[in-house]
Amino acid sequence: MAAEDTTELLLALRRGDRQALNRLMPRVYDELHHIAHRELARVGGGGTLGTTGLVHEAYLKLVDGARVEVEDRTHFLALAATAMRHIVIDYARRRQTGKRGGGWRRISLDEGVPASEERFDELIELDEALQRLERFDEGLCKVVECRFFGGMNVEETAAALEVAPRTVDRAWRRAKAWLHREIHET
Amino acid sequence: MRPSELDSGRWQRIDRIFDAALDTPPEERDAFLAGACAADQELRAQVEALLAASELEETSLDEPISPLGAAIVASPDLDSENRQVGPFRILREIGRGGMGVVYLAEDTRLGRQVALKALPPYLGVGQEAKRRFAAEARAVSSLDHPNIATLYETDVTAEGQLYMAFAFYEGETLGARIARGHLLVEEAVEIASRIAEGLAAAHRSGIIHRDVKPSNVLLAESGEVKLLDFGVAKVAGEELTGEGVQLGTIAYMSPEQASGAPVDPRTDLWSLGVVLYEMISGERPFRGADQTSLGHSILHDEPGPPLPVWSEGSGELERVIEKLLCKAPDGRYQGAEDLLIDLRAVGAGQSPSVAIRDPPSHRRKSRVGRLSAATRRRPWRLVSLGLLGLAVAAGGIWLASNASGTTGRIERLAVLPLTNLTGDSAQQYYVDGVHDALISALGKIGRLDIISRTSVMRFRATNLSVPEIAQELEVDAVVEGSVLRDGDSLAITTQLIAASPERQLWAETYRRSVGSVLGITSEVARSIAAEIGVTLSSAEEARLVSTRPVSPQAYDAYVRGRFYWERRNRAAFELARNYFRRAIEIDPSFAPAYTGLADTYSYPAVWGLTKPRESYPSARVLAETALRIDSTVAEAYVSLAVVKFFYDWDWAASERLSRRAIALNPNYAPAYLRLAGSLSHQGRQQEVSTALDRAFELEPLPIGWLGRALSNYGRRDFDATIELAQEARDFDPGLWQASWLLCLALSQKGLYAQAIGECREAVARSERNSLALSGLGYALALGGRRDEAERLIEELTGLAGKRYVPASFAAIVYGALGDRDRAFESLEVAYEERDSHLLRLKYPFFDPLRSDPRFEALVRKIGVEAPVPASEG
Repeated sequence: MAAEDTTELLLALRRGDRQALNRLMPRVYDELHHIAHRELARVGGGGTLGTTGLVHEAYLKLVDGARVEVEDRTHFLALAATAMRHIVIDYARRRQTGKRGGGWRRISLDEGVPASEERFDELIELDEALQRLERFDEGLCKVVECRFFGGMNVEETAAALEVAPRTVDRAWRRAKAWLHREIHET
Repeated sequence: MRPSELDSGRWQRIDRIFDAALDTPPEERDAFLAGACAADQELRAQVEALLAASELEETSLDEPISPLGAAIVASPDLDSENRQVGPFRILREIGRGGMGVVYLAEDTRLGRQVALKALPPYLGVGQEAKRRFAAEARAVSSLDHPNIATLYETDVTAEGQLYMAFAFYEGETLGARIARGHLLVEEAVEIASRIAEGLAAAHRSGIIHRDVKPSNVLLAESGEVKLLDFGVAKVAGEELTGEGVQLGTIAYMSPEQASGAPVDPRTDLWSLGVVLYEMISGERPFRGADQTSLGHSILHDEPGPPLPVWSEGSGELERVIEKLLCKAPDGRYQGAEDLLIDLRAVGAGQSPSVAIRDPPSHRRKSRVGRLSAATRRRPWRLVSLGLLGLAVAAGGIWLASNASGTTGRIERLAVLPLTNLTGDSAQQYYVDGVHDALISALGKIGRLDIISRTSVMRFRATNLSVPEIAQELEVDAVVEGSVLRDGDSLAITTQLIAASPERQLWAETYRRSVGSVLGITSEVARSIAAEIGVTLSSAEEARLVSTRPVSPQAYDAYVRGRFYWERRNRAAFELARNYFRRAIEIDPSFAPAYTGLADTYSYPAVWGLTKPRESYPSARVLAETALRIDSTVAEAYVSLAVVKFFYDWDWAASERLSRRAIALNPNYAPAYLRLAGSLSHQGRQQEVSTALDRAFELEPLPIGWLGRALSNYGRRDFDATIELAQEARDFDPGLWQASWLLCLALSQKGLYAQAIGECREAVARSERNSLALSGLGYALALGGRRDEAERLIEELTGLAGKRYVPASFAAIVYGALGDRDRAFESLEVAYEERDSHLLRLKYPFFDPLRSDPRFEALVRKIGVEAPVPASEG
């Protein structure tokens, strides 16, 4: 009954049960993989759904929409965005280490992921900068997770983080500037 | 220096000034910065650097991650073979769960095989998690016992991947063994003793397993019993095994663990008690349809005896289990050694004949423990379901049918959502599909009114009693039931309950192969008809019989498709389409799949999400294909009617098709909606009301409310619009269309501020849907906020560059702004595109254009006669 369970966890989260978060994450994570794999098996190519599609379908699959409020939905999307960040960065790191021949070394390098090595380096750099800035302003980083990793628009992000769209808009601009400085300043 | 090297106070100061500067017009920035930073040149330099960075167009955040992210998630690299982790080479995946993936891997240094457990990457985030992992791993690897799987080594790779390398044993898990059938008592006692020995050793070292369950016990080919995954639960965090991941995990949790209280070694003894119970009976002592009821069962229920009462010698073992399953830890064995003493005694005195008993499947149904919370609320039904259990054992018999003579006439029925007994939510769509099929089958009976599926779905997992539900839906009786699908076999139980007075009229259980699901639903329909004294016409009989066998996989994909289609948003339409396509691939002669596919083309166009000229023609071909395959599918006629109505603007044809659908299935609400729309454009208002009333009778909630609200707007009854839209929104706050309607009606009443508020909400909730945006623009323009309205037009135009936006939406806003020329330019485009929204030309939002001769010409050209009530999909 994963759907009911997830719905309940989401409701528990709204009631302030922080543990619910830790229980939700593995599910979100698994579901994203399952959906993406199924997609891959069906259409034979990677990204037909896109990040947003994946995240939304994970929601459709895991949560009983009739039982939750709009806020719960957006809350869920924010969690999924965090999961996306981990997945993407984890992959990028593995690629990077793979190049150097250690850790999770790939033997076949042809998996149809359309990006250059530079892009992966850039993503890792971005994640590291984000981790450092998290100390100063966690909210800023959440906005980046939702907007960038989760593919959410301003309205969705605002709803997910329970702030005004205007706040998201500004946080996004601030985050971009800070991150740029963090990455390019030596 | 890097921003992260700043101290926190300095960072905040810079950020505050930067934030404020972003809001300052560029020409005033210098003055602002001079004031804000005063003599602190370094502060000013920092802010200016940030301002410069914020102007950049090409930071790493500006290149969208979406396609790459999706490709990465789908990448086979994430869990495929031929990878290397540390010194291990992955051979294949052997298991997967909430706590990571288990691979068979080869240790390249020693050439031996290991079971490599890779924990989910998010667990490796953070130093604290890594420390906890290392500490626990050290403790577990120090365990050296024949009944504990050896942990060779653990590590965290440079990328933060946590892994644990366990010894690999050939064999099967106890879970797999139980799935093949319960064990002999002496086998069970032997296995439990080995587990207890392993636990005793671990507990002595201060390590609690926390996740003792059959899938964590390996029966090695060598005959050894190995307890797997020691330490994993702790490493992964207690929350993961808290009351979390899967029912399959919760089922073995002790009451203290399930309720989140601190645990000690005695929690493992409880779990072992559950495992022992399951080994000898083939079923679990505590059950529940969901987490809450399962948790409740663990905390409060006393399990029934694991062995039949007539088994010889069952008493001793049952006393052991009873002691293990004592709710209070103090009442259990206080250590695994104590348990071992009793198990040895049982083993020594056990007679092998004990295990010969009835198959578990017969007893299962009569067990009170598996009934849902809903049943507990209505205790009288325990009795009837208990009886039902007996009936099942006898192969299905009629119950209480002689009582029906005293019941009032049953003419209106609701089929409540069926309960999913598979214990797997992934099967929910299938259960919903059976529900749908049951509604369709009953719908074919002309003398019965069957409430539409949309209207009954809200009663899933409801707290309401049958009489309360019946009152709300104004029905005389309800049909309830459950579905248990196990591989290729299917068990459907159904019962018919009269509402007033509440009692069960009929119940039956069907056990068939999955492929015969449609046959079962027809049988249910016929049985119910017979039960309530409805005689079927020969045509109805024929329609019920004509269900051809269908491939279970195709049906499966079809119901998944309908599940998504009902969600009516862009992403869900896309998913639905994929499923319908798959259904067709599997069984190209399965007509409903073509209908479903047709609807995934037409309905997005009805809602202004896709281009009419690219959508309706596909829908037409598909609906026609469905009809060529099977001309008795009512839904296919409606799919075709939708095309005739919204695209061909051929009212007579859509009327004809809707009537044909109604003849085939008099309870298909969308057919009446389409009929009403078709009649309305032909100026036959009297007939419209009859059709609409019928549609709303069948679809009382909440889509019905929206349709009615919209038709009232069309008829210019704004108070009624507001009332109905509010009702719909109270019912489901996610219905942004309700806010859009409120906005329109309030604008008409001159309450612009309120109207704007409503439409802003619609915009936010609909993820900036263009229909909501046009409503907002309309209200802003009428409210005199021209600048903002014009900006919305810009947004609509901008959106149109990315996806289809019906041109009529901009026309509405232009009209309200008094810019008639541009309004008509847009309307011309809309006409060329065959914009479905043009069917609402008589609605108030086009009023500002109405006096223009060009408008009258357009109305004549399209042939719109009158406000179209409730023509929404």
